Amino acid sequence: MSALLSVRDLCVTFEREGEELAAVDGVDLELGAGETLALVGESGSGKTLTALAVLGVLPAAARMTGTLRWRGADLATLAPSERRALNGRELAFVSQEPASALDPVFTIGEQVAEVLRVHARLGRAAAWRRAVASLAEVGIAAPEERAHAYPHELSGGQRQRAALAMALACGPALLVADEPTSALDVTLQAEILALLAHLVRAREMALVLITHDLALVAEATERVAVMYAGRVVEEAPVQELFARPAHPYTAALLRSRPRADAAPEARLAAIPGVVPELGRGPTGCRFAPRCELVRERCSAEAPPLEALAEPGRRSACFFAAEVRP
Amino acid sequence: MSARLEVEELCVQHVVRRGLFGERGLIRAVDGVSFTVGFGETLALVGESASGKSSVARALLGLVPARGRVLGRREPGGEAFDLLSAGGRARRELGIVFQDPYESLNPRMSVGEAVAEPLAVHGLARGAELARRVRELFERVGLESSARTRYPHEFSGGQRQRLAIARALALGPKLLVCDEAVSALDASIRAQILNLLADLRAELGLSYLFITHDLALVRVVAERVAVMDCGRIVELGTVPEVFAAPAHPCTRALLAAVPAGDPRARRAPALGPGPGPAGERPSPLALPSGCPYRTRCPLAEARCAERYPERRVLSPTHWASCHALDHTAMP
Repeated sequence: MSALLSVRDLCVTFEREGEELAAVDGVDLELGAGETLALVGESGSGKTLTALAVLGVLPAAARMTGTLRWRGADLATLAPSERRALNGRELAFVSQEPASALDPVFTIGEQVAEVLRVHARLGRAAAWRRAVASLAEVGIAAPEERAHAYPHELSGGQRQRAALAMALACGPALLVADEPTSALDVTLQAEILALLAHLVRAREMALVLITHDLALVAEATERVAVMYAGRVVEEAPVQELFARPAHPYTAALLRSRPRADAAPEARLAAIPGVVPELGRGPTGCRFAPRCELVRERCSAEAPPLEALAEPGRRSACFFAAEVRP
Repeated sequence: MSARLEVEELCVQHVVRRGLFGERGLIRAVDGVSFTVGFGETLALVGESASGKSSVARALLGLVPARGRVLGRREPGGEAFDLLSAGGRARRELGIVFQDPYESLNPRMSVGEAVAEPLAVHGLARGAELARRVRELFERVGLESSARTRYPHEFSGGQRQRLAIARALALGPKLLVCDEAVSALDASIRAQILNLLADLRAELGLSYLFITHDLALVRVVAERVAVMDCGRIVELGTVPEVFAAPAHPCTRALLAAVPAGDPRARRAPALGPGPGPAGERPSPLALPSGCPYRTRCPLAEARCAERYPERRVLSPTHWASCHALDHTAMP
């Protein structure tokens, strides 16, 4: 069985003062039809650039190497028009700021209908009907009326729903959601996550959820890839990752969260040090300067992301067996 | 009773126009809010965006005009001074740390100058004494004092938040207002800053008003928590009380929305595709009559539209304003 999406040795670099700085440095990922994967990392980890590379919309200054395959076919061999058609029909994207996807001068109904007319080649009336149905599916109340609303007339949560309706209008096989709830209030965040989970199941759609928030991962996806300074450092089914992290960075992140059962006045288990600057990471393991398990070998050579004994688990740590939860 | 900060019936109103020639509307951003913050205590102020929590902070700091009474004290039993009318001198007692330190740091000023500025402006130190105080502040917040000559863009988010804290501490305030001070920070840095705030509280005897939308944080930083909705405090109590027995439906909705952070405790997506209990928030220009939460409330009944519910005292340290509490037996 070939994967829906496969990413091999993806590198995204930027040139600064004659130097090539790698923001994404050798990422391998694979996603089957209907699978859900969270890409977790802090700012500068390369998680968003990885997604933009998959969607073929990297910033102009970025250089990309590596292989991206969609249903087995190399995406680099597609003509620009084929690539656009793929993005419209099969690959959908929602971002943190729905306003960036919505045009302020058209009603949300017109915008969803336009996607359907361009990519699904529907007529005007049919496209409008499907657009209204799409708005209903993402939980917009009174969709016939709301279809006539302009983006500014909607609340933040409603705008994110409208952006989702637009992304999902053509029934994509994969939805890439980049921090879809970060700009929303906590109660809305819970609603949008529940909506995503519902849509993924109802449509058997694959989902890549990009987030900085491990707590969201626990809610929304089956598998997690943790990124640090441009590399995937650990990949695992979500249950196993939380129960038995196999990379010191994941373990430290899990420990640093405020815990419900912590004693009052207890200090948080902070991770010392700072995230390395773009392309200025240490040679060897990039987490080494902040790591509690660090040895000499870690600064000499970069640990590869290798399969562990447990199925579906990979870790880029020489001492994965010693990581404590 | 004497507290570090006593706030009584604080009100903040904004007049807005709808459209260019539209009629004037009145937004009651803060509508009769009262609370106290004790010596060495942290009070968390939580609520969704537009609930009025940041307007409370801005009113305390004199950044927006406000009515009501705000009294501050330097030490227990000490003389109370009025913060709303006293102006700059009294407000030195309050420091503020905003969510985005980049916006509160001048990009053209070295960070050493930025931290020195409040001291110089208030004429509290100059020359060698000023330099010494700045070095001390840098060390206090965990920054190398040699970094003083660098500029804000050369620092990471966590370091910039340390700078903002150093600047807030420069005038020796006794109460820090932290408005979403760690919300924009990466997970691995957030715990460092929270620990720094805890250390400063212990060393300097500070009190905090900790404004956040993140209830998961409240449990680790605060002794008491006040929940705001539509400009009012709807529930206030100690953290154990409110987390164990949230009394207001708004508090319950906020607590239910906190991700469990553990896949074994994953919530059933019972909400389905439709708008959940949060529903649509009312426009601040046209709040529902009576209790403004009633249009989102699962317990709403006829009288909720008639008048705002009075405070129901649940324990000496816990109260909530909800008509539905009449139906529950008092503990």
